[in-house]
Amino acid sequence: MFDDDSAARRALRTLNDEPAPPVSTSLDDVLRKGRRRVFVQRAVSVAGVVAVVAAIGAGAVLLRPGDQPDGVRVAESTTETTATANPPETTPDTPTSTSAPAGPAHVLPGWQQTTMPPDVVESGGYCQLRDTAEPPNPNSVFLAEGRVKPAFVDAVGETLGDVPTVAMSDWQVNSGKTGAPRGYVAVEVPMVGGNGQLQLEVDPYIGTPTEMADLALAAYGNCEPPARRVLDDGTVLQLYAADWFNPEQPHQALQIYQPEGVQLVVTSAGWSEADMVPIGGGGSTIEGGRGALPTTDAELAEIARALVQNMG
Amino acid sequence: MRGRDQEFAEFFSARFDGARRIAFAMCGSWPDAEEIAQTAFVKMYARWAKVRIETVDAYLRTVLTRVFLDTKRRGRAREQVVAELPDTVAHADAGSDERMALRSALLAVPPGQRAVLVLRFVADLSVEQVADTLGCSTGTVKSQTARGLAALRTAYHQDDVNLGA
Repeated sequence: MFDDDSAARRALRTLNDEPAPPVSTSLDDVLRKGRRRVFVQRAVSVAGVVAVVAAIGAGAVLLRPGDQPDGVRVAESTTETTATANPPETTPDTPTSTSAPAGPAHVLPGWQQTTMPPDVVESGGYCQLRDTAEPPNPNSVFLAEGRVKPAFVDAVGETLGDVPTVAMSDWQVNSGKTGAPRGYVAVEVPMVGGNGQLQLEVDPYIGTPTEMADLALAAYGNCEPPARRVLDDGTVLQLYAADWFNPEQPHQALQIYQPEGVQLVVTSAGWSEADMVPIGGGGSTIEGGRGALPTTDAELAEIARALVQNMG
Repeated sequence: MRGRDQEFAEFFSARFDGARRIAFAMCGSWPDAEEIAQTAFVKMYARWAKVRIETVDAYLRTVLTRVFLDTKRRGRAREQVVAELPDTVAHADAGSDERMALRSALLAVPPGQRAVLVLRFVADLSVEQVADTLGCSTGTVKSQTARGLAALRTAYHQDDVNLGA
C-alpha cells in the first residue's frame, strides 16, 4: 500500500468519506472574533503611529534652541548676547490632510439621506450584519462582460477626463468567493504617488431594488446611513461614506440595484495593482496605498450614473 | 446586500465545512479541526477586504495549514473545557476499520509531512499548488511527500502488526 502516488491518493481520499459531526461554529462567532481581531490590529497600528509622532514631537521640542526654557540659557546670559541674535523660528503651516476622516457621505443634489434602522448597531468599526440570508440565485440575470466592461471604462473616462487602464477583468459563472455568478473589473486612474482604482463588481440578486437597497443600508462604511437616488427606470443608487479603516487604503462604495435583478457595486479605492504583494498560497495582499481616494462623492456618483446610461 | 460581511458570510457558508474536513485530516480530532477552521476564518475576516478574489481558496488553504502547524508547534497551551461532549459519529460503515487504521497511521506522520500529504492527496492539490500553499519549492514538496508516504506506510503496517497480534 502507498507504494505510489495514485495508491496513496486512493487510500487517503477515503478519509473524505468519513461522516462528520454537525458544524458548531456559527457565522456570528467568526464575525465577532474577526471584528475583535481587526479592532486590535487597528489599535496597535494607531498606537504605533502615536508613539512615533510623540517621539518626533518631543525630539523636535528638545532640539530647537529657540525654544529652550529660560533656565537652560545660562551661557547666553553670561555673555549678554541679545535675543535678536537668534530670531524666533517660524512654525511652518500645518499641512492640510486630504485624507478626511470617516463621516457620512455628503448628500449630493438629487440624492436623499437614508436613515439607519434602529436594529443596526455598530460593532468593532463595522455595522452588525443584518440577516439578509438570501442566497444568490445562480439562475438569475448575470450580465455579459462585453456589455458591462466597456460601459464602465467609458463611464470612468467620461467622468475623470482620461481613458483609464484596465488592470483586471474576471467573469465567473461560479465565483470562488461567493459561490455564485460574479463579474469584476478594475481600472486604474492616476493619483499623487501612484494609481488609484475604480472597481466594479456585478452580481445577480433576487428582489426589488428598494428592498435590496434597504437590506444593504449597513453594508459598507462606518455605519453611517448612505445617501440614495432613485432613477426614472427604478434603478436605485446608494452612496456610502468612505471607509478609512486603514488610512493608507481608503475605499468608498456605491451600489446600483437595477430592476432586472442586477447589482453593480462601484468602489473607489486608494490603491493599485502596484501595491499588491504576493503572499503564501498564491494570493496577494495590499501594502501601502495613496492615503486618499481617486474620486470625490460627486465623481463617484457621476461614474455610476454614466455606467447605468452606457449599459442602456 | 453585498457588503464586506455579507460577502464573507457567503464564503463562510460555502467553505467552512470543507476547511474543517481538511483540518480534521491534518489533526485527527473534530473539536480541534473546528477550532483550527474557525481560527483560519477569523484571520481571513481580518484581511478580507484585501484578499484577492481569484486566490481566495488558495489563501484559505494557506491560513488553515499555518494555523494547524502553529498549533502543533506551540502544543496545546491549554485544554479546552467544554460543558458538553462534542458530537461524535458512529463508525458503522464497512470501510470504517480501514479508515481508522489509516487515520491512526496518518497521525503518526510528522506534522509538516502530514500537512503535505493531506494537501496533496486529501485536498487533491498539485505539487505546485501545495508548494504555493506552504511557501516552499516544488522539490521540497516532492521530498516531503516521499518521506511522508514512507512514514505513513511504516505506521500503517505497524498498526497492522499490532492489530493482528
